Amino acid sequence: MPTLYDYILSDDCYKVRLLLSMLSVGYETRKVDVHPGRENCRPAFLSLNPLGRIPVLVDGDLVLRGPSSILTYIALQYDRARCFLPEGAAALAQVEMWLSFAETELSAISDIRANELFRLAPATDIAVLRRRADRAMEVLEDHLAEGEIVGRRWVAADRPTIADLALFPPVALSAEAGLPIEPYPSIWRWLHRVKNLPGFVVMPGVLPLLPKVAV
Amino acid sequence: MPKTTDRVALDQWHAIGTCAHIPLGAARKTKLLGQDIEIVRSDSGAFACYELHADGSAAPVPHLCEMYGFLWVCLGTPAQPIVAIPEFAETGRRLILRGVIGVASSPQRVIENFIDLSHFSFIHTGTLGGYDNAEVPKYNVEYREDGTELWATECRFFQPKASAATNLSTEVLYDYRIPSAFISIIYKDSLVRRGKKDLIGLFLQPVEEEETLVHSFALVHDETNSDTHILHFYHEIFGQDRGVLIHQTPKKLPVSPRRDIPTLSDASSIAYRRWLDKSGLQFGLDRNLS
Repeated sequence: MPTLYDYILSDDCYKVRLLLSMLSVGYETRKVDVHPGRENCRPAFLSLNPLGRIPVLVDGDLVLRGPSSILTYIALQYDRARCFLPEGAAALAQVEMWLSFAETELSAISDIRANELFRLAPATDIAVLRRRADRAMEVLEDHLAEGEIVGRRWVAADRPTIADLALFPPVALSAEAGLPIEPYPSIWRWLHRVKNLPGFVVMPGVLPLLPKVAV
Repeated sequence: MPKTTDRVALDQWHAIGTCAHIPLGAARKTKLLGQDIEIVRSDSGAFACYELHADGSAAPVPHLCEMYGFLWVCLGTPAQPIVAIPEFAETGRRLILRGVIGVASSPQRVIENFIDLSHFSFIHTGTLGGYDNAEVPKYNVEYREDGTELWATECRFFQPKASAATNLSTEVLYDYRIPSAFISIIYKDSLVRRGKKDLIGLFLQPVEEEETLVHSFALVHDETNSDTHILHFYHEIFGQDRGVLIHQTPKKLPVSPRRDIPTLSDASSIAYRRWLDKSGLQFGLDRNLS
């Protein structure tokens, strides 16, 4: 059974929790005192990930760091049907393209949010990060809007992939970074589609769909 | 904004940091009531704190104190001593210092959310409440200590998971204490030590009128879980609250009776607003009449 090194307020860890839940994969959680304890900067954790960042996934002798590699591994190792990772060079490469977008471009949202939450001294100027975040949201909005025109409802394929799950956390938490979601109607509709996937789970700052109530 | 001129806010003690989280020999800049300040810790562990002025000069804050594991300052003349919490001196509980979390809203919004029972079922679904038990039973609101403290007592709520230490789905008894505008403490029935209380407290640092740093603690009976497990239980809950708080408008808390349309379950919130209004406090309040 894999072990996820996890923090409940981490958007990167949430990416992994989403996939594990949607695939009904059992796993153990090892909670890491990132804030305020900075346990991720201590030797025991650094021996797992010298970069000092969560999530880390340990499965037997395998130690993986970073959400994209962990999502890829789980999608291949724990789902024979490969529901979240399509076959074929072009399809796979598009998933990779959006996984990379989530880790690089959308990290601006994660960095602003982390600064708002934990009041760390930001490495980069917030105004610079904000421009990068706005630009990334525009790129995603345009891509999803084009998809709506041709009937493609997900970012990288005609069905949800790990790319959607990697993009969802920072985008769904953009309000926590002080970024408005209102200018992005296609993103808004896509967020709703992800929330409707079987096995979807929330994290703090992400509201669930309202339950159906008989009236 | 520059340093506030609000005497009521200036004459209070405010927590501005967790002592154990500031390393020896370190200096940390922060802000209180619009005033830039710097916390300096010597190599031997002693704290000093300075108001930083626009011309580059610095002056020691008039009042500085360590208590309950937190660093407290008063920028004016203390109108009251730091809140008395005798449970910190008792044995049997674990102290979890939860670290600082920022919220882009007024401190009064944070307190009002903290003392609100009706959001439990919808925001803390599965821990502090559930869709099937959303009703808030009637509770009492009273003023104590010559009106300097506001209490909501005999609050009862059905909770699926009232603390990290329990999985028992049951009705839990609460008392809420608001000893100052920016502090609230919950006294909550322990489910592992019958007859004992767990304490959960917020010491808010009013940074600006619409900017708050939340310092908090849990003083709880728990003999099974790791510190990190307990910490993350409370970070999950406060993270859920924060997700709501950042969307509330206006960010300053309205206090005029003409600004609210309360229901019975809002009794504590309404008492808090009227009590703030009467206190003369300006900072963080929306005093428009309509």
